[in-house]
Amino acid sequence: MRLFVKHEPALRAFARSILPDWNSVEDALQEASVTMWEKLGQLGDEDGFLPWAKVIVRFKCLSAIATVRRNRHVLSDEVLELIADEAEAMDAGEIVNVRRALNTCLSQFSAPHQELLLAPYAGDGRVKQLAEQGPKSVNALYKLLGRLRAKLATCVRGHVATEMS
Amino acid sequence: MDPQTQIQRYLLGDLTEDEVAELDKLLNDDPELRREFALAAAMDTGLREVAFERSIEPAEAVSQIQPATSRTRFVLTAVVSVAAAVIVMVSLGPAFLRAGLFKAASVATLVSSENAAWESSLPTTPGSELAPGVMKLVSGVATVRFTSGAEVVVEAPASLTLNSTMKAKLEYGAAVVTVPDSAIGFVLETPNGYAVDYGTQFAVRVDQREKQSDFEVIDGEIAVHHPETGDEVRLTGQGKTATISEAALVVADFEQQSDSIETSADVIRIGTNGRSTSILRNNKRKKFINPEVLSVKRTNSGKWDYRSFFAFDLSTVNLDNVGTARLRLNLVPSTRGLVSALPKVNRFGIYGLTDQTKADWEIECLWEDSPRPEDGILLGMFEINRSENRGSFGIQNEELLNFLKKHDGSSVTFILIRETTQINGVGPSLTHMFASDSHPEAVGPMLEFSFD
Repeated sequence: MRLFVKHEPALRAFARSILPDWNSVEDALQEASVTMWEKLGQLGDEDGFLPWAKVIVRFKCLSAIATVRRNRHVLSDEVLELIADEAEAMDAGEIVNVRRALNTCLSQFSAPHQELLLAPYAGDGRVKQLAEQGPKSVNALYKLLGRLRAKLATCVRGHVATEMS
Repeated sequence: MDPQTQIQRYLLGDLTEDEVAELDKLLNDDPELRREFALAAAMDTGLREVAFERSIEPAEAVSQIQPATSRTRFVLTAVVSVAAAVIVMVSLGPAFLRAGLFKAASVATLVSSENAAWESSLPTTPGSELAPGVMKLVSGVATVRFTSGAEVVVEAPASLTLNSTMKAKLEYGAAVVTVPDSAIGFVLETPNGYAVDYGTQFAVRVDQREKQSDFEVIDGEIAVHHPETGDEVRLTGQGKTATISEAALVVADFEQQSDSIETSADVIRIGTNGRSTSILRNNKRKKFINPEVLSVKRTNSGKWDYRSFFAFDLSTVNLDNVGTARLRLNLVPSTRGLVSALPKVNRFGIYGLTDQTKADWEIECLWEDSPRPEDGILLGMFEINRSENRGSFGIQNEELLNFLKKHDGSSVTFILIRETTQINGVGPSLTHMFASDSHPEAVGPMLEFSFD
């Protein structure tokens, strides 16, 4: 349990790379945590926890995909497997670096843009609410959000690359 | 659309079927783009954490937010026994991690609330499940039971931040913390330090003005930590107290110092009993004035100015022994205008009405007839950062006290205006809104008197 809490951000990011929405990510993580608890005896030492946990999370995520696919456009299973390989290789340090870079990068955006960037996580309808307050339509805001996030990602990537080298 | 934006919009669920198919092909062919995708997922995870943290600490600047790893570290060190960990897991059950932080992985339940008035984004009905967040108790007493089994009884005025099932922070106010075996290691943080409870009960009081926290063991054992100096002290047994301030951690025995934790000084609060209103220059009250809030705005042209005024009946209070008086207003999120059109800091003035011919104002009066700042005297100012959309604001000073004493036994009207206007260019500026007595969640204007 302690190990799970410690590695939760890394596991969550990993699950997020496979599953297309946050609800299914949380469901999969919850199922994975129960399985981990049941199989904890198999774990040799603490250092082996993250790779071991990722195997379980990966399995739970990929088996959840079929259900998610019913009401959402999702990438193909083959591509998701490839992405999972890529994400599995990211270590915990990298996740911490991303998080750190995010703090720096976010501060380069204006206050309204920061608000928009964080809006999708404040529950359904927050972006819509912002649209109602301003001149832009919901669609236009989502387009802007896509571009802002791409810009943020570029900044984060730059920072992470420097940290790694 | 460039592939980067395409990935982001996929994560937002904003791509059509064809666009997803196109992205699928790109990702299949390009390992570098797959790495980008993994990074974007990690960024999405981080952004969500930031959003969550800001929802707890809305006023905190970006640069001050710590990475999540350090946020949970306290909790980790605090979970001292495997037994506690098992119980946390079992008792959290399906609620644990359920469907996103905003859909409330609940960490506690509000057990009871006695005459409690809240300023809180969390549910305030007894029996409600509470997600991480801030609860501000304006008056009364409330009991919060964490899923870990720890129980915190909070006495108003207080602000309690629920961090997790094993950690809470008391920003100000008083509380009694009871920790059963299942929650040994529960951490109660204050602005000055923190206490780890090794079982049973302790009391804590945070004095914001003195910038110090007092901890007193009622029964059992606690460890008090002072991060500034790195000091740590264990207190065992009834009456052992520790006081932490910025400079030091001081241990005392309650027996010799019987008043080190005093009960809160007597405070009396009075409200406006619905006698509050707002007004705007064009008098289009029906369209622009929401009676649940007191609207305040000042524009460069003056055309869209709003001001508010409200009255208190002082006849129920004996002002003879009043030591301090405070006028308290609760800011609530605005529904009009843009924050970006505001200066970073907005200043508000509170005026006390002295022209008695204006004292009988009606709730639905006209701009021309209503009490103006010129009809009274300036009692004080307060400031609100544009990043803030909730919180308690107001004034506490000699001018206010003298004004009240001068009008002892009668009714007093206060006029609230925004002294600052907007910054140029960027659309209509925000109308600040404070709760009136009709507001569904927040408490309306209040006068607080404390007695010597």
